[in-house]
Amino acid sequence: MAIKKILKCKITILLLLGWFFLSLVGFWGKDTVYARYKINVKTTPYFVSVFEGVHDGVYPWSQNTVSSWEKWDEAAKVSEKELMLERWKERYITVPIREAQDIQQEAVPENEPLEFVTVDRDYFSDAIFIGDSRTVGLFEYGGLDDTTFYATVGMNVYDLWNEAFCEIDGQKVTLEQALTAREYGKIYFQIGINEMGRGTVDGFMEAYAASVARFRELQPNAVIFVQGIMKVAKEKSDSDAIFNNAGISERNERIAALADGVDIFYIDMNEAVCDEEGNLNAELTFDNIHLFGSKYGAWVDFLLSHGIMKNES
Amino acid sequence: MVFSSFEFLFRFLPVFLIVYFITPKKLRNAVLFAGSLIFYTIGEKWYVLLLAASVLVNYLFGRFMYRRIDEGKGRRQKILLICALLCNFGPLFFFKYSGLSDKLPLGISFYTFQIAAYIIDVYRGKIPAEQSAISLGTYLTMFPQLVAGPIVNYSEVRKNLSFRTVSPGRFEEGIRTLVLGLGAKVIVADRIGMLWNNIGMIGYESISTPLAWMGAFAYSLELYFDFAGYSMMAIGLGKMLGFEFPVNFRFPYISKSVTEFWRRWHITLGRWFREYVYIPLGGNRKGRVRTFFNMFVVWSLTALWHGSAVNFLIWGGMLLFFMTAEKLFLLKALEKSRILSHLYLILVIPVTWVAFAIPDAGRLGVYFSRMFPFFAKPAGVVNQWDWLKYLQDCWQLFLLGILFSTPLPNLIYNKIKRKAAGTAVVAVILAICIYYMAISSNNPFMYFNF
Repeated sequence: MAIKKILKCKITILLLLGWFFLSLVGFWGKDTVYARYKINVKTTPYFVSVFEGVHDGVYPWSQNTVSSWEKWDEAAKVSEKELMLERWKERYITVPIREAQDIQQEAVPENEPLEFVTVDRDYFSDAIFIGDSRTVGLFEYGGLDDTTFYATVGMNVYDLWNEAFCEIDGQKVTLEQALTAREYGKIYFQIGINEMGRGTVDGFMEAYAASVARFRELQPNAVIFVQGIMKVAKEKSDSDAIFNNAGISERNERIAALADGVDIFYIDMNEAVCDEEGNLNAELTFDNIHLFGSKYGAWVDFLLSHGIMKNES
Repeated sequence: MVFSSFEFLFRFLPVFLIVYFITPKKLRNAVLFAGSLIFYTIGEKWYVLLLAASVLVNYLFGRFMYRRIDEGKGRRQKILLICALLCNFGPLFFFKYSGLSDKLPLGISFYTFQIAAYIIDVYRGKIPAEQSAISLGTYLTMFPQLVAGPIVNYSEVRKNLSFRTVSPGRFEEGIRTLVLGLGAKVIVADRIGMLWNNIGMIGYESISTPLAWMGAFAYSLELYFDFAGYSMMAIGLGKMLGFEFPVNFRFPYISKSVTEFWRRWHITLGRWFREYVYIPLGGNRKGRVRTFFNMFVVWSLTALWHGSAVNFLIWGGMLLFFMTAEKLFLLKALEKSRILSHLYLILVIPVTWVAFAIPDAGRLGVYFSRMFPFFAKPAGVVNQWDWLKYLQDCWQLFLLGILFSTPLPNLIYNKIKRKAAGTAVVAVILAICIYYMAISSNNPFMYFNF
């Protein structure tokens, strides 16, 4: 009789069974399929990783257990090794001194690096902006009406080429398709805050540099602007172990190194929106991460004063 | 520890329930009392002492004060009552309004009202003073309703404090109520709340008028599903432990006037003010002028209870304005048309909630200027089509919120709840809740996607 009554408690039973079995699954996969999810056993049951997996398209039977950023972390390690190998070669395989001097002379650029000039809004008519929610905000409130924007909330360099987030004639296409469809004069790229906390800075840079190389390949004549990641406000920076300005600066320094002064330029809009300490000015933001709609003008003005005019030879 | 966290649902609660049910019935109050204090300590640390002191002090006051109605009340009762009320409202005043403390002890607004009601009822001879300090402590600190209500009267749980049984069927019913409340919070409130956040991010000066209204509706739904969901979870938890808590929300958004709305919204708070302020002041039996004065007192206090910032006074003032107008002439006019009266409520209440939501008077003014753009030109860059984007993102949530603001889903659920379909519905809601909780708890990128 008592058992019959208990069996009627279907939700209670389902809950207990689900809890038990899904936790088993989560526990079983904690070093393999679900290795990327960190579970604090004190506060979180193991089944949480199963649900997180569903969200990311990872199932217990999934073969591909590596996250998109882990691949880049691996690639970065490989590049690091190759670099070391090259240095080792430089050091131990003697190159005739004369030859080395020739190489050095060749490396000196023929032209002086191009200088930034002030431009007007027409400058952006053949430009494309690629980025995350910050760039979405620039699209919505920057008033750059003739410019192409391919940006979406949460975009990051790891998913940049796999997700169909660009729209052409009402069709969702990948960035590669979008960049193949039309020729652009300038590419503005600002990305890198969503990647924080996922993977290493080296892996991030590997993916970032690969993306820039891809831009170059798909748009051989465009001037590429790699933009420094916009900082966060002090309150956020001081209280967040991941999304803080030290981390952003570290990434920005590495991004800046990609500039060649010829057709890739580094511009950092932070000088237009940050205070003396280098934090995003608290008056410009509500959530400490994004500019108010009415403040995007500062970014636009900054861009207007940092145009590049290519020497037509 | 919020109810909609894994820590509460899958750590604290199961451990507590096991201890609770293996304990002999006689000792269960002590277990519940101890469990509630632990629950409170996890969240608030030392403020638990304030809570424990409140139990002890009121226990003693109650014991010393109580006299049966036929014994009559003397001077001593009056003095003791005043002292007890000072002891209860003093800390509330100190933490909430004096400006001397920047942190508010968790649930103090709720438990102060609960214990004050107890003391007044003892004074009135309506209930005898509780003889057991543990029982009184169990009542006051009970973790299901400690933090966010409902404001349970002692008389409602008195019987269950001395005797209660939990049958498997009632336990199951409690779990189901808990799941449905969790769904209201996690599936609707937390998600539609993102729209309100986004509007803050854009800045009020830059939103279009349609978006300003969408934001007001979204916030209204968020507040309702958050609060009503929490109350439902409390009621469900209460059932699982053998208690029956009063209903706190009865589909407020289907009301036809602001007056009716506030009879359906946070019912146990309205009941408290009626019982312990409005009626003792004479209610509506002492003439029109006095009635309006009494309403003024009640709504000033209601506003203050919610917070001490200036916007709460604006909010309370707006409510008072509409209720007075309704009492004077508006109700009569509204009665003529059902459609018009619903429309009136659906437009007025979100405007009041906006005042409730924005603590800074200047920014509140900016928001209102966007809702009613005929008075002021926008100060920022306005993207006229911004609302289309957010409508695309949120229309399903709006539909869900509107649907579940009506009694219809509840009627259907009551028809099927004993059948397999009812079980399936609850199971699916539970799974969706866990899914959303999972991707937002451990994964900082769900809610912090930039």
